[in-house]
Amino acid sequence: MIESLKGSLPEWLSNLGPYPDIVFLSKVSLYRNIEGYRFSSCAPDKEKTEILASLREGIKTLQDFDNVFPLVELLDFEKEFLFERHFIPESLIQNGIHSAVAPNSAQNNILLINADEHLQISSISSGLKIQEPYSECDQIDDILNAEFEFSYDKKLGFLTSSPKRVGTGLEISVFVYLPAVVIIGVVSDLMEDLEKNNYSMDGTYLDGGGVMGSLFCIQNEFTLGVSEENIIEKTNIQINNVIQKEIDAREYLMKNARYETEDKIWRSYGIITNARFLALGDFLNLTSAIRLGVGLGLIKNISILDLNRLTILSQPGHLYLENGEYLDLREENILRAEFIRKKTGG
Amino acid sequence: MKCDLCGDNDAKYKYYEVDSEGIREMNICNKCAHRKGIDFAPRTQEQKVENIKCKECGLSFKEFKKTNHLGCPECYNNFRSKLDSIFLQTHPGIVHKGKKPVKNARLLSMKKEIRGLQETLEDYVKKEKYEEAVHIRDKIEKYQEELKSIRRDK
Repeated sequence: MIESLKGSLPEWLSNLGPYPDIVFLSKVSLYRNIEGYRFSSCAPDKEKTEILASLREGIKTLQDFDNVFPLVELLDFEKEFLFERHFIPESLIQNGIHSAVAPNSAQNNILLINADEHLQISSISSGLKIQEPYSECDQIDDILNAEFEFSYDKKLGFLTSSPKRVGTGLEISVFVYLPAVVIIGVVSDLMEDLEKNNYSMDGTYLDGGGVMGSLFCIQNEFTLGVSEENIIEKTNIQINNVIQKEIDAREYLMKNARYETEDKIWRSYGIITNARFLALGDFLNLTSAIRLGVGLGLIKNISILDLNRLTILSQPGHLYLENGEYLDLREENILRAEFIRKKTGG
Repeated sequence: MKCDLCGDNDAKYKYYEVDSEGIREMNICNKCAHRKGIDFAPRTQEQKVENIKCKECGLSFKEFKKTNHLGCPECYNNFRSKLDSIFLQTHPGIVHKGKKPVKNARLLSMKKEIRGLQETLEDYVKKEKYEEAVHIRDKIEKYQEELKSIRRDK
């Protein structure tokens, strides 16, 4: 059913935004609920069905959102594919009977129905770019607001199921690669700093041992008592601080452990271009080191754009969809290694 | 930690003072709390609050604390007295300062009108009808000014 998405890359995988070697992508979301209904967590099936039907109808007033995918009609690996593209949260892979997702044709703007809230309007950009995706969400919000009355309170703003989102309902998620910060061991200090300023920082790909690929998601945890402009401004400042920490850590490494760092980078390059089996965790850790190499100007024959694409296209859901059915772990690892060798000329 | 007000006794409570300058967080002792006339509900009352149910959806405050998800917009009214302290754990204030919903269609129809005029303008420029184009451009500017004033009034 989602064949149409498979054939084309999202716009944010076709260009690079600011600080591309450190910031993978920025995703801005506005959460809204339709007045007159209970929130998704509490609404009975009948209400969820009504919400889904009326939002599907309302979306037709928007240009360029021609495909609405009800999750109930999708296979699990198709939902995994959507999760890997940052269209749906992981929790909806197993659930989401009443949920639907509608990406625009460029796949940078996404509407998600009946997830945590009735409606999540999102926009994704490559690199550190917050204002532009926010403007996209804001515009969609204005148009849909002519069709729907959103739950709103004069004092509290837009009402959401989670009090963490009440007020503006604005969530900014910035995905950052921090390989040098991880190597020099200052991740927990950085997390503490961000927490003090009401930001969360979580690993994006986790396994039992920790964060794979040194990729972290930083999110604002405050939405009330502050304007959208202020949240955007504060987030830009916080992310710039994080970027500076990574730059400082890289300088430290190159000054104090140059050969060890270069060895790690080149070994990773050697493995990825020659391996015959590549598990997801290995792949993420190796590409993170290669990304560091590109950022430091050491590796020149592979670009950040290539790495961004590989990161998404080598995920299990993408490989399954490419293959047309599920693969066992051995087949998946072989296919991933083959795919990467082909793309990197190994 | 010593009390932020008297500086003598040990602080027992977190206290937020809201005024025009913003929110001040203070740690205060028992004595200063009483002096300020703050009513710290005794435990039995606390338990009662836990059992309050939303009149609209039936969700209890206890259930909300388990999931961190409210059941319906009315929950905000029914649990209001308890929610402010939860808001202040992460949010900088308890009053919305952001965007307001478009209550009437005026703003949207104005935007639509401007989009239509912009297309006409492009058309005139293509056809080199500059006099008409200038007229349309002035109209767009006038409408954009109006749009700004609608946004300010919202």
